[in-house]
Amino acid sequence: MPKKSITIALAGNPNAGKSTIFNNLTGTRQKVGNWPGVTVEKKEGHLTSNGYNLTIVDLPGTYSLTAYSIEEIVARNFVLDEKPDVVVDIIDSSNLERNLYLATQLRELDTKVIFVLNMADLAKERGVKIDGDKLSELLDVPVVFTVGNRNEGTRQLLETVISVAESDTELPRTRRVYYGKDIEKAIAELSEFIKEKTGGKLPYNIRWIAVKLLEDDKIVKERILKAVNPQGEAILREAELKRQRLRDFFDEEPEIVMTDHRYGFIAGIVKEVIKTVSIERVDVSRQIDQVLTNRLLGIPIFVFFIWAMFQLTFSLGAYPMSWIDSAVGLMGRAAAGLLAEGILRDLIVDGVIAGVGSVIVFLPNILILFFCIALFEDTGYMARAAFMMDRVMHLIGLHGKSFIPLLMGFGCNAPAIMATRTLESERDRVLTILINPLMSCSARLPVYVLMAGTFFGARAGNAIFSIYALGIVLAIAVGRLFRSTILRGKTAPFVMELPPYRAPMFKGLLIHMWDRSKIFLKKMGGVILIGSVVVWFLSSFPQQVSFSRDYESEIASIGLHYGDRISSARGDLREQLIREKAQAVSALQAQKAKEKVENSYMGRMGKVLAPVFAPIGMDWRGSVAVLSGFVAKEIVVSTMGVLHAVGAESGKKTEALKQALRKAGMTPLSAYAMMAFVLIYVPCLATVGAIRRETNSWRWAFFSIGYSTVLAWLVAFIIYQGGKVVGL
Amino acid sequence: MNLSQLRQGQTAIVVRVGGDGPFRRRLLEMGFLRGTEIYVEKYAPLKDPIELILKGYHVSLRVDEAARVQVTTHTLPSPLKGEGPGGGENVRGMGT
Repeated sequence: MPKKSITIALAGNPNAGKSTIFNNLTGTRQKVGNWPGVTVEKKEGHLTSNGYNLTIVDLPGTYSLTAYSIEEIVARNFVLDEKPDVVVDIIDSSNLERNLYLATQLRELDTKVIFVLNMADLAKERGVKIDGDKLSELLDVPVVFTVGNRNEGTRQLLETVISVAESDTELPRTRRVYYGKDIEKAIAELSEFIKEKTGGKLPYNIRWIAVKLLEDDKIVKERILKAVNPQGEAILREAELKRQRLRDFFDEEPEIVMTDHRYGFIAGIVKEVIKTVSIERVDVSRQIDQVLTNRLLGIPIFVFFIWAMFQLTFSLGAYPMSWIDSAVGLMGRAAAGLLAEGILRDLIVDGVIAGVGSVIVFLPNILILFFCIALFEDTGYMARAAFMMDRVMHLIGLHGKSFIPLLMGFGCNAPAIMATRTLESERDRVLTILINPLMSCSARLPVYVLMAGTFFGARAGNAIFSIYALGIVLAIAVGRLFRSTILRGKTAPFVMELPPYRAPMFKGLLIHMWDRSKIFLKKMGGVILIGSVVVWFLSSFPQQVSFSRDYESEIASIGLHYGDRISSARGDLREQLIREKAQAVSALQAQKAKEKVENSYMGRMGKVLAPVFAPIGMDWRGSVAVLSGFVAKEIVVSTMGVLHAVGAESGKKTEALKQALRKAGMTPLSAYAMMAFVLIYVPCLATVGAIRRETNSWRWAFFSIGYSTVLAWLVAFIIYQGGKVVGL
Repeated sequence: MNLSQLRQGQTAIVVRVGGDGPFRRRLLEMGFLRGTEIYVEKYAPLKDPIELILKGYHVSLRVDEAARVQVTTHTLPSPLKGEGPGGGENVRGMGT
């Protein structure tokens, strides 16, 4: 017998425990993606129960269905268009009044609704007892009690969902919000008008349409115009007329009066279903906040948490990182051994494995970082961090919540950009993403260490610190500039709930962490793989290079030259000869490698671009190195090593490279200009991939590449030429 | 007076929420209605935003946003024109 399918939508306020219930219902069988066309996260899960195939869709958490925010629009459109069999509204029992606001709006839609009173145990602790039967009777809606973090009531919820979905009783059309005599009259008249005009053709509940039109709901207006024309125009005109009359009567916008009535209606219900047992209890959450958001201690504690997060990420992450690094190396060698010499081998070993490997080593960092973020979010601390940092972020016109993603950027920009999902406003999200690469990530540090170590001696630390500071200053400047030009608009109001602290569920944390990390891994197969192959191709083709010297025969002659002497020598002399031979060979090999890269497409591009880089104090080697840094910024150092013909096997590679840099005519000034350039220019491939994914558009990804490169050149130009003018 | 003039630990009652449409609507939806009691829990360490308690939950608002909420520390006279936010009688007189 084929199983019957039921679609369930989970709705509810943010912090009502929706995702915990979702995890309880679906376990790990969930799919995370985006709602079509927007970057709001969509979670979907499947399960079978009592012979039914259940699809559970987690709607974005909203306080209302007014269609002001993108989340509200997404949630409402899903209910209207996809017509789920049942909508389950998760209600935070200790916050019944505000949660019922969304609940009453759901009741106005033509859909079957179940109320879930979640965390009633907490409510009881706070002295609030809810009469579920009474609530069910008053609103004519099935009510189920659950305790999400103890997985209680899940079974009963499932059974109720199935029985409600299967029942073919009429939708309850009564017991909806009563808006008061005057507005009710307008609703009735407008409903009648709509019925007359359309003959009941509209696919939505007519009373609901009338209510929404009186509230001047833009999306419903568009829908009407699309569904029925030319009658739609007449309906909108009639609605506007009625709005005008109500506005005159109340001396207030009708939608404001209606909101008031909804809460009035709710107040009536709350009075009947809540029994307040007044027990004076210590509010633990408030006590915790006495410390964590304390006027003096709050910020130091926050700084400590962030410091701890970075320590954990980069110190603890360093171990698995080195394992992955050696595993990638092992894979490369294994592949090299298995495959015959040739282009295919080079492609797989140097292109695919090395390229993807250079990004996949960040996986441990990303897992730990996201675990910490999930911990901050699930305990409720994230809201406090935003609360404390909002003042600072407001300088750039951003929300306090942008602070964490920006801070994470100092570790690695790719996961930091993925962390912008916690921001509600799309504009805030794009702005935070665009300035994120200016937070100097850890991959750029090796470049600074090399440059500053070579040219600034004892002041290297200060030089590096000033580069980090430069990034922050630029982020503020660029942020303000974008805010007043391409991302103009009012700052989103900071109406943010500070939910009570909650002990996180380990399973929830893991699911949270894994969801994000999966996105990172998936990218490996796409953008980064292709990008690595392209860069590999550019740096290793053309294969046939006409070398200026015959390196192979020179190496062979060295072998001959030393061969006899080594075999006849004894003791120390013999060892010295062996060392000499190795040095001579490696010097030649380094020269050869340098010539090969110099003649590759990448090298030629570098040389062609050299005039562009000359005004900022970089020679062609610098420009090639910078080009190769697109894959990952730390590669700049290794490319410099190759181009300055520093042998690979000498233990003092860094020392040799430093000498080579000095010899090549770089000055402290040009080194500093290059450091600034590396800080600002094109984000690495992984970051570009993350930008593309999180903004859902190639346009922003290319914009990011473009603006950062132009800015990098300008800043480096000012540093280099300005420095020359003042005689540095 | 407005909400941003209150000090930590003070309680006031909402008279009117000003500001532009979406902001005003959002605040009303979050329960900032005429007659609602609001307690100022604390100011953030950098003096902005403010943490408030109303209807049994905690919410934060920026100082310049809080300035748009008119409050009084006295009890309010009559509610809104029309029927106003009602009590239990609304529950039974429900529309169809």
